[in-house]
Amino acid sequence: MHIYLPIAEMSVAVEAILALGIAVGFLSGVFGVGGGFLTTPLLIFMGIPATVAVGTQASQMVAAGTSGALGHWSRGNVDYKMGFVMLGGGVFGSVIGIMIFRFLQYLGQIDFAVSMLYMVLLGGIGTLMLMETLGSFFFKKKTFRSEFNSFRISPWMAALPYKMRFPHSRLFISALVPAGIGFCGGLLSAILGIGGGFMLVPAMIYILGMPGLLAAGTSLFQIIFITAFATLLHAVTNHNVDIMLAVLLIAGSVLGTKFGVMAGQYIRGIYARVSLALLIIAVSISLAFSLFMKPAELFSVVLW
Amino acid sequence: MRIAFLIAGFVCVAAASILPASPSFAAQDLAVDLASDHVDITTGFNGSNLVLFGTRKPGADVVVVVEGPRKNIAVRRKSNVLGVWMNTSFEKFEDVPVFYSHAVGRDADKKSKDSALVIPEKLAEKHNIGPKNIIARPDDMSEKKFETFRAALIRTQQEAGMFAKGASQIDFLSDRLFRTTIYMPANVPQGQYTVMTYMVDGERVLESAQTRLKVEQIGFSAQLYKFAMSFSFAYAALCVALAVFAGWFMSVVRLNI
Repeated sequence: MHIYLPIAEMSVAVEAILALGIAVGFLSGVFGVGGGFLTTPLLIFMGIPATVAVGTQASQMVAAGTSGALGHWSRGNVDYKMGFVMLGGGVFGSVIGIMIFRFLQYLGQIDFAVSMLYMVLLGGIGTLMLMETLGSFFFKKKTFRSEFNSFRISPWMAALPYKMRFPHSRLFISALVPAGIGFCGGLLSAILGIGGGFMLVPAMIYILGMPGLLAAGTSLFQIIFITAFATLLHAVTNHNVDIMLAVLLIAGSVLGTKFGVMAGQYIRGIYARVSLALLIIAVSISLAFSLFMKPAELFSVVLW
Repeated sequence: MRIAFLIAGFVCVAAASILPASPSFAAQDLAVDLASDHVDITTGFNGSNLVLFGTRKPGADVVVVVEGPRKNIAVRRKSNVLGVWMNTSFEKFEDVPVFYSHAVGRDADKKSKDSALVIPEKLAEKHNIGPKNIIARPDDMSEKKFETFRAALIRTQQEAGMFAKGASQIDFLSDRLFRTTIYMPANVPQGQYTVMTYMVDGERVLESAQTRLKVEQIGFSAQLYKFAMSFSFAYAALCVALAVFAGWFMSVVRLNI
């Protein structure tokens, strides 16, 4: 069955979009990731214009973020104060990100920039994840920080002004650091249409020294607002949010999440993490191919 | 006075009934009409066929051109920079139709000589028929560059289904009556289209007729489009609210397993 997307101004197969939503939902059910890093490239691959894919993806991330954050919130894993400080930086970051997005569009480098950024980010994170998971498996090394914060703050970070207390995270650090991390997250979500959880959580654990679960919950909490804000900016400035596409994607991911959570109960954590790492690396490699191999068609056409 | 008017009226009617036979009214040899003067994009739209009927002078060839919305188009070229393929140059073309398709009908007795769907080169150039002849060379572009980028523009638009690959067929239903079907793909752009019909004898156009065609979204998808364009803030808020609701629903699903 085909359905016409009013904003993308094209007709797509409902089944294909639903299947994509289900696959991404399944991943988020099993691994607890948003899955935006897969949706955007796949939507573009299906012929949806890159701008519409990024804009619509932002609204889907609102749904994924809300559902994730509600789960963490019910277990008390959200540091609101930290979340709002990060949000401050994030809002600023997404405004700058949208400006960069439009500038790259004007230069005709948006597809290149998006592919390149994805390749570098996913390649780096996938490799790190794989190494850490395998390392902890073979050497029984404790790699995740314990719930009690024994993390030493580096001297240059301690020297930064605007120190603030974050009771829930048991931290006393400069507000500039979480705001800076939020800024990078906002930048990424505006340019790549992703929540940025896969960047934010490691940054919060390794730079701020937050406990893992609290970092996950807090990052999801602020991702809701950042992606909602990005949706708003995209819809108002670029008119590239397609509600029909978003509804299909979200409907698919609701279904997929259900199956994913069910499957997740039967998959051992280590296998789940290794397969996620391999998947991320695979996406990165396929992007590398598209960048380094000579394309079949060197020319492309855009409305000016 | 009344009688004078009446007589004048009679004279007019009489003249009108005689005139079609005179040469100045030969323009009525060609008449065309679209089965429908608009293509409606509904939610279930997945491409459609445009049907055009017409009458011609017996023996004449017919060419039908459908083209629409004219836009400015940039063609970008990738090249290798430090091992990576990225867009490095581009050329702009002004006033190029985004969609282009044409159909050709050669009279049956001439068919044996050459291919039925080929238009004489001179005719095509003079009347801008065929993808090659609709793209004008910008003043500041060299001939060689123009050739390359024009070919690329045509090729990529053909791959995207926007330019038809080759001409389609016009069927002659009788000596005078003809019909053709032109396919509009699912991603056909919205806007104003023109349908030009040429009645041709060899390389000479005997007559031409122009019809207009409108492609636009209607019904639910049109309302959504209008809403998104004119109340973009409310539209965005709706998208976000929908997503938050879906997220909540997802977490309920997640917790109830």
